[in-house]
Amino acid sequence: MYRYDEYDQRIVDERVVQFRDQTRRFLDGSLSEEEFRPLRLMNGLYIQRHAPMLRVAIPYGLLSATQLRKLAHIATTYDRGYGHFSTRQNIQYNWPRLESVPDILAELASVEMHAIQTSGNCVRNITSDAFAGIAPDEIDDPRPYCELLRQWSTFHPEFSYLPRKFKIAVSGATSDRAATAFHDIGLRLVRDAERGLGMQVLVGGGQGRTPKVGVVLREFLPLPDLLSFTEAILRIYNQFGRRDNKYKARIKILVAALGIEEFARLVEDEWSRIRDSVLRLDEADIAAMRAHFPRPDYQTAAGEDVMTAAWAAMEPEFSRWLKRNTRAHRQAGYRAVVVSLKAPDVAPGDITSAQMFALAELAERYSFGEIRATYDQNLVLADVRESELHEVWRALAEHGLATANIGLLTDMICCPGLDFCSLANARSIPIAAQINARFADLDYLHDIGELELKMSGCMNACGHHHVGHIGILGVDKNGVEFYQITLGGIAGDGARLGERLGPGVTAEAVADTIESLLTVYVELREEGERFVDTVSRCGVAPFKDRVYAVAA
Amino acid sequence: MRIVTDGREQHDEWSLLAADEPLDGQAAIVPLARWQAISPATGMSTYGLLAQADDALAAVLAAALRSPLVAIEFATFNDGRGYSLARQLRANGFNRDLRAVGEVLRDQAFYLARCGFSSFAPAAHVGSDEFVAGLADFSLVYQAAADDRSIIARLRQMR
Repeated sequence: MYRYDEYDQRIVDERVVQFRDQTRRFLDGSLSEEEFRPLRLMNGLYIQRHAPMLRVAIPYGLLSATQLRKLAHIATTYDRGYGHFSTRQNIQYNWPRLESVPDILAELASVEMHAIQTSGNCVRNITSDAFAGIAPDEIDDPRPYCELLRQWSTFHPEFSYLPRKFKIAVSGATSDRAATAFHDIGLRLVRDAERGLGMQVLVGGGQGRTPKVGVVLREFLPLPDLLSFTEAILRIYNQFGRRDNKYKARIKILVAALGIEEFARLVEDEWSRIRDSVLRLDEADIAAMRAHFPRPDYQTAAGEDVMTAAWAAMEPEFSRWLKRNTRAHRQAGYRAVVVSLKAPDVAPGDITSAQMFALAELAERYSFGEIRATYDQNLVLADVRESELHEVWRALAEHGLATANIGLLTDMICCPGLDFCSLANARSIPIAAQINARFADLDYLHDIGELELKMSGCMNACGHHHVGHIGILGVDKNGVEFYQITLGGIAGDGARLGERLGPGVTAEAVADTIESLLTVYVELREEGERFVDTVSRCGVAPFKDRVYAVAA
Repeated sequence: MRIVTDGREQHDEWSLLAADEPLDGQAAIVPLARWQAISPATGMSTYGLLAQADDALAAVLAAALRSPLVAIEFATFNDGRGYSLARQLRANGFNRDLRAVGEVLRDQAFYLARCGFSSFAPAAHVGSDEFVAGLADFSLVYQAAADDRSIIARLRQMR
């Protein structure tokens, strides 16, 4: 993974000094609340319902065991012994004290981490595929480009006070596991027979109040132009994006208002001016960055593993976990293990300090000391030998990290909701608990198969409900929580927004409603058809009829 | 006005003229429409140009090339349009004094300087010394901008 050199280190060290001084000035009254606000946000610090919330950056989701131990230590020392992984591959602490934040940043800097630009109206953490570098369908490793973008965007002097936040995702595989169509800029590595490797550039995707699927701005961007083209997009957005209404300030609104042709014309004009500037990456820049992401030292003789198959035959629980929670690897003899942060009795994405310490240990022992955070709030041990899967499973199970539900209904994406977030209108964690209680039977969940349930406690859509196969949006109607259901959203390949089922249901009725939906699915499904495919084929009508017939 | 330039506090003869203030020969900085009305049709104007975030870019670029000074107004410190405008002025060849005026605060000093501003009129409650300190918040930069700092990628290549 990318390791800091003295320059990277000096920048994060100077950031700690800067933020310590800013916090001191805020606390002694010389920096106003209004002046401090964007400064703390650009360090991931929110003022929340109960306490500040601190969001720590995990660039493109990649962590070392040392870093994970530090995150565990911070959770124990400065918080309440746990952290929460978000859909943007970051980790959030819900209970730090404002006065402690500079010390937390100093702790982070000691392991090459920071909270830079994890909030605020600036370029946020660059996200990517959690299976980067190991996926069998990979065209090229996206991480070097993520890191080039991370460095370019860090403290960008021109783009730190944008109209609104700006999110970039990079996918390097044929299958999009980074939800690139729902980012301000989505970059997809493509290989062209004539031009070689390049990127398809999407722009204007996003969720929130006005969800949009990103549109293609450029079919093929040569890699040396990555930074100049991105800079051109940002400059046009910074100048012309709306600033009068924060709900209309994202780039998706500008793209929709101008039309993609006019937006593209403005970008191309600006780009033609700066394309051959110092922003151009040369081959050496790209090669040097790629060298930071070498293939691990795999045991090429790993070979076929008879023991794992034997264990699987003897232990149905292991067999189920093997099927649901591990993924194919491009290296023979290896698999990627998804560590479920979706145990039935915890809030989706939460992890305790003890679990983090245990996982760091496992990563060092079995997976080259690295851990990845995923888009759907789980973690990954990316390089586990097949012959060691049974040991890893046993160790994970011991720590409550082996719930065999990856890709199933209870592998929910869920925002913190009204319990923590001051923006939320409705609770989401108790609804997740209700769903977990109802659908505790893993055999039933395995029969239902792949199903992405995503839930947000308000229309800002941090829980990505628009792109859930089943989406749940909490709303407040005169002090009562209601939950609007959408069906058929897709975050990755074939990206599209879900369709509203009908009027919202009460908090008590959410699990019943899902059960009705699943019953209809079981009745209608054809052989091998996923829930979302049945919705595509049959439309929402049969689901709607059942849900509202039951309610009436 | 009180400004910070060349890394220290200075005072110069320029002043921002409100729309209804009469001209009386002083070194005045005026908004675009007024600048266009009172400047000669060709050649250098004696007036400084006050560019605002809503002004049409082409008109600002044209006027700047005939202005002894351009001030960009930050109506609020978190309206980032002035940063892009500054970079575009520099990219377009404007090489005289480029001044940040309005809500110009200590914690944006470093970014402003990197975008090509050469002088700063800090907001009334911001001391010149603290503004100067803000100009040095970071000793290294990752990305090219309108200043002449060596970016980290080049420093790495020179090692």
